[in-house]
Amino acid sequence: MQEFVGVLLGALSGLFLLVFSVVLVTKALREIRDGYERRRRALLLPSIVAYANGSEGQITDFVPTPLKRWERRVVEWLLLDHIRSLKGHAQARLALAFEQLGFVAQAHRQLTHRRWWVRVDGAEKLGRMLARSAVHDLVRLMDDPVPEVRLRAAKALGAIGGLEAVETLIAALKATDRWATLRIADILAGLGASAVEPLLEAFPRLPQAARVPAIDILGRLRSHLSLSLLRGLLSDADANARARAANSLGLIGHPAVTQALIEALADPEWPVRAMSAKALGRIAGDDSVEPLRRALSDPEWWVRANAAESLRGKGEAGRRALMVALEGNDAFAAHKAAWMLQEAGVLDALLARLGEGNEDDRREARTVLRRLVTLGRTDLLQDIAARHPDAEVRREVGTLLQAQVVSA
Amino acid sequence: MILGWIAHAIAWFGDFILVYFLALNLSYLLLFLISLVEVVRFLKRTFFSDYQQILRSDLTLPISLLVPAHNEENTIVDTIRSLRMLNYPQFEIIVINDGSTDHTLERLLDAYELRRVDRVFKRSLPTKPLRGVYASPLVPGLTVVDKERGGKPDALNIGINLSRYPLFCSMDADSVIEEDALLKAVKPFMEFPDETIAVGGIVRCVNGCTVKDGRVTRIAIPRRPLPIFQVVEYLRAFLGGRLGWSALQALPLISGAFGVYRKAAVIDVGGYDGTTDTEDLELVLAMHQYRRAKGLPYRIVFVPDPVCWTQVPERWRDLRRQRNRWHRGMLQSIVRHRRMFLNPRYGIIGMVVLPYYLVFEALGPLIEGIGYLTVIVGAVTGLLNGAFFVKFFLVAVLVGVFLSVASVFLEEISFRRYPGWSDLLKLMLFGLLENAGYRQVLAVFKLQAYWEFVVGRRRWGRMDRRSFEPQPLLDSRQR
Repeated sequence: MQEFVGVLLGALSGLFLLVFSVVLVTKALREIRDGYERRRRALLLPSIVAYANGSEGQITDFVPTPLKRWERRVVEWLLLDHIRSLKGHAQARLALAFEQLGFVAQAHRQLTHRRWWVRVDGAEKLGRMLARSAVHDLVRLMDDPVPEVRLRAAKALGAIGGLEAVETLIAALKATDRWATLRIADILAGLGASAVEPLLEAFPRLPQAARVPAIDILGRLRSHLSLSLLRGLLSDADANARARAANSLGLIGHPAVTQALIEALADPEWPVRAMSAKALGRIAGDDSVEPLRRALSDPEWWVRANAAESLRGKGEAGRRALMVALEGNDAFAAHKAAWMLQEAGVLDALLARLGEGNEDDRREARTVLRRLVTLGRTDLLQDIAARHPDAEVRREVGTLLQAQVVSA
Repeated sequence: MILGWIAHAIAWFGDFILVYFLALNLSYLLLFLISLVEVVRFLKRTFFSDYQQILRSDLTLPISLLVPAHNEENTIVDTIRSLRMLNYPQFEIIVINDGSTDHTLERLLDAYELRRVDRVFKRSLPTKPLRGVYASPLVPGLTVVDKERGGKPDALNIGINLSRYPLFCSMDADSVIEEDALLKAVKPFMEFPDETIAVGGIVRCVNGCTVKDGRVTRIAIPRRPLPIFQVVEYLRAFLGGRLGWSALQALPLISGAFGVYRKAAVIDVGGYDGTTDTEDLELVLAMHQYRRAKGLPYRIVFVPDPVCWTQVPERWRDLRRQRNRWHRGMLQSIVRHRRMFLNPRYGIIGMVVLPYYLVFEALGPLIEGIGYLTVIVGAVTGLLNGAFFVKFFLVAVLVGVFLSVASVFLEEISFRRYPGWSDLLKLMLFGLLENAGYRQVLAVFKLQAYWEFVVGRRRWGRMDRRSFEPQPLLDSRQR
């Protein structure tokens, strides 16, 4: 037994010394490399900036060639860092520099490496280098068995752009991996107007799983070209598609679809009604005020909540509708209306009129406040009774609250 | 005759200790190796981070930040300031003033010109009565809830009721979350939206660091020895332990100081449970039990990158209270979830995690204590094999040191938050020194927890907090 413990002791001592040494050596080596790279960066940065902003000469005229291994790393990262913040001529010159220094060819080779993280690295760099010559290989990489690689390829294609890239990304929307779908949706939305027409054209051929993210992307792209398709989708057989279409129509915010969304407030599925209520709040115009007020009595909580939020954003017409809801028999609608009126600052305006307005103003304000007291929504009123700067307002609100306490 | 019995008992216990020791350290080593692989994999996956894309995406899930505060007048305004600067597209902050007897609420009222509002919300979880809800015209996403004292679990439950978003982040009022922490913590929810129900981040010690405008601007190792021991301990627990459990899909705990949860999954298990002393452990175990019993797919994940900086005790008294509570809470939760114990229906949680926690974590201090007692009895009666004891003790110390230095190694190859040579050497030195007293004292604190567990004593274990930033001198009236 003693011998066993002795051996254990020896083994552990060795292991401890090994880890201890590895920690120190790793740190020392990294600091040496970091120091070297820092110095080289400081030295090379002005040359790279001069090259990017200039109009003549190749990158090889600005940096010492041939580049040593560690120097290549520094130059590559300097270029990759800078290309992100540049546009137009300077960006094109940096993209050319990657070709001239062989970085594009090097990243190309990485795409077929057996280790997935090397392929990821290659795809990411090609995207940042805006290497148009890599589009075919990146499209091929979208079939890689490793999801991370496919995502990087998608990201690179998004950065490079062009019709082939867009079409490949649209086809990739059918991915079963939700993260991949979200990322590709983001990439497509980031492409802007150039993605709208290919997406509309491809939509009828997309499988159901890809349609929902496509509907979301159309909303985010905010193009009027999508209105017709999205309006039609409000009567799709799939409730999820109807709900997403309502949301996208709200994002586009065109008044031409107001009536279609009002009709969708009567959809048998509550997510569709909730999304329609939300969408109507994003579209300018008062036509939706009355339907939204009625939606405050919807049996589903989310529909009522969204309708109230939408009314809050509807200006004077919305305020009046909320006032009507406040007086109504539907307790939830009244409570929600009270909250929305508070959040919209309507209550503050009423209180100001209580202090400074004419007798009609005061009467209206008192009616609303009395209703709030009846509903028991008195938290803000108590705060006002204690802290409002106008003594007259404090007195009036205090009296109302006192009357409630006495009657209770 | 009696001496013979004692000799027999000592010999038997010696063999038992040896087996126990080997099993314990093998499991530690295994966890460390899994953590090592996981760190490398994590670094490769996040070399080019997606965080900027997450920040810009319309599809990123919004988060409600829940900040329970009980007598946090010194830190609460700093904490809110730090939270407002978080790098995240859409979030709300809900501070729950849990019956503070100091000026926590007044500090908030003054700082943000709060006023009472009539908020309508769904009471999904039962809680203690609410005194008022406050909103700020200055900061639209800030809500302050004033309620009767009900403890942190109750405060979090009312925060869940009031929250608007599908995810919530629970945190401590004395913590500082790094500005990209939410972006990093939300990624697993976006990668596996249907399965991910909880994500924990790493908790690091803020003692010794410089905090300015709610941000950690300079990272440094604390000056006092007690917090330095805890820096090493936290590194070991998070990088060398939780990362390994997470890789095995068996994470039993997400620190209460920083965790992001899917609200619906928490409501499914009835929210936070106020009947145990460690609501964070209890919640995670409850979610495991609920999901596994129903056969629902789920992921509870630890991500080593999002950092929450928290104050650790600088005094032995505070440390004793904290560790006492942690250990008591663990015992309570193990008993509460005994149904899962060695029950194959609950998979790795029932077959590995709970037995591991019971045998090594919960009973460890007891066995360690009996071990020291045996050594004393053996020495007094002359039955102790001195040479064997010395070698065994050295092995135990070396294993401890190795695990601490290995955690520093994980930190050094990955996140390197402590950049200086002196920091690194200090961490390694304290990894060595913690075996000469600190670990034993912790065992004593935990032994006290057994007694409190048996008699059913409950107490939170208050720790005196300091303001993150130097306070201006008070004049005589203010004093």
